Amino acid sequence: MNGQDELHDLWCSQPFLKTGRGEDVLRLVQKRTNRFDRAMLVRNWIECIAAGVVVATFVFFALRAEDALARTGAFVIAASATWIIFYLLRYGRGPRDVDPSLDLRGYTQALVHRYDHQIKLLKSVKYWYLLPPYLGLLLWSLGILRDKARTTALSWSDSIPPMIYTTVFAAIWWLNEVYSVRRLRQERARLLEMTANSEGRTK
Amino acid sequence: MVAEAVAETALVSQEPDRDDVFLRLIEQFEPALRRLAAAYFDREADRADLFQDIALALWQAIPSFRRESSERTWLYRIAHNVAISSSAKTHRQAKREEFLSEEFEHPSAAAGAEQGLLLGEKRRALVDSIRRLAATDRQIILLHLEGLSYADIEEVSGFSETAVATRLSRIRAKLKEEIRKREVGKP
Repeated sequence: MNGQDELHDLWCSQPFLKTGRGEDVLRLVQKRTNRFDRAMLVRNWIECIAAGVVVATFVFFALRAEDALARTGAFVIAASATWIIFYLLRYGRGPRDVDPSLDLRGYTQALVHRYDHQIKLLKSVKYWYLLPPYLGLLLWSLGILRDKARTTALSWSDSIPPMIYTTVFAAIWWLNEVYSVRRLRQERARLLEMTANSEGRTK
Repeated sequence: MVAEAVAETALVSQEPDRDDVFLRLIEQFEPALRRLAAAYFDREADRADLFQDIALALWQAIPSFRRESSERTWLYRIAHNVAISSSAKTHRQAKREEFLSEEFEHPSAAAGAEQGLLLGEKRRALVDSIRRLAATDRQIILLHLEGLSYADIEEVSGFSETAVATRLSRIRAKLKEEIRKREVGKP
């Protein structure tokens, strides 16, 4: 290799197979934005409606419950679902995108901060998202079983519903706190590794 | 370079429609953005995804462009940041065989078959070597290869002009050595 511009010439002479028209790229970008917005809206509304159904159902159960434990459990579930509706309406769009026009250092710091925030949020999911409805379900189930035990003998099949929802809650906990946190930590580490060499920065 | 600077002045001197700005930016910088994508990903599909991600980020960022920097440096900052966060998420293993078959398979007919092959081999060596650089070095050399001045590179990367000059000298020497090795058939 010789000459100051040979690398530049070599670099700029790359052939590319796919060079679409600007209008096609614009349409694509607008479609992706609209699709994302619509998907978020649909997802949030589906979850809100589902949570609304849970609230209505368990308020109804609570009002009809004979057993105090079952009534308390049903109210706890209804309250948890109400909290989820509030959370989705308030924060349903997820974290704000990091401003991509920052310089690399600022952008990396903002991304790392967002990773840390997401990891913290996922690790706390068990306290504010999973535990309240799970405890409510446990109380409600215990109340129903206690009520049933007053008139008939309990069988092993009575333990199936609690086992099912315990498994479901455990799976959600694992997905959030183990799988997703591990993935985010790997991404965070890769980002830091990629941008580690920053000697000579002015900003 | 001059055409880009003129177009840039025209872009920032008025309040054009967001779509118009986007179209002009894409038409003006698409080759550079596609080259940037090639420096981050070897597979065509990944490069196309990255190009789309950059285009999306640009479109979303246009309304908040404060004109505190030139439009070109602003665009390159966005493109490199999106590329870095995207490759941190993706982290795909290099697939050399796919890369070989997908890209640079059409040497210029005008240059002659042998010259075309040689040019293709050099380009392959250059892109390969750039992909192996650390992200910060990769950013600096890519901006340099796209014709940005040291001051512009400082604005995009946050490295001082002196640091840029020092790094560029080292990176260029490294790239030339890699290409030379490939030319003489060394591993």
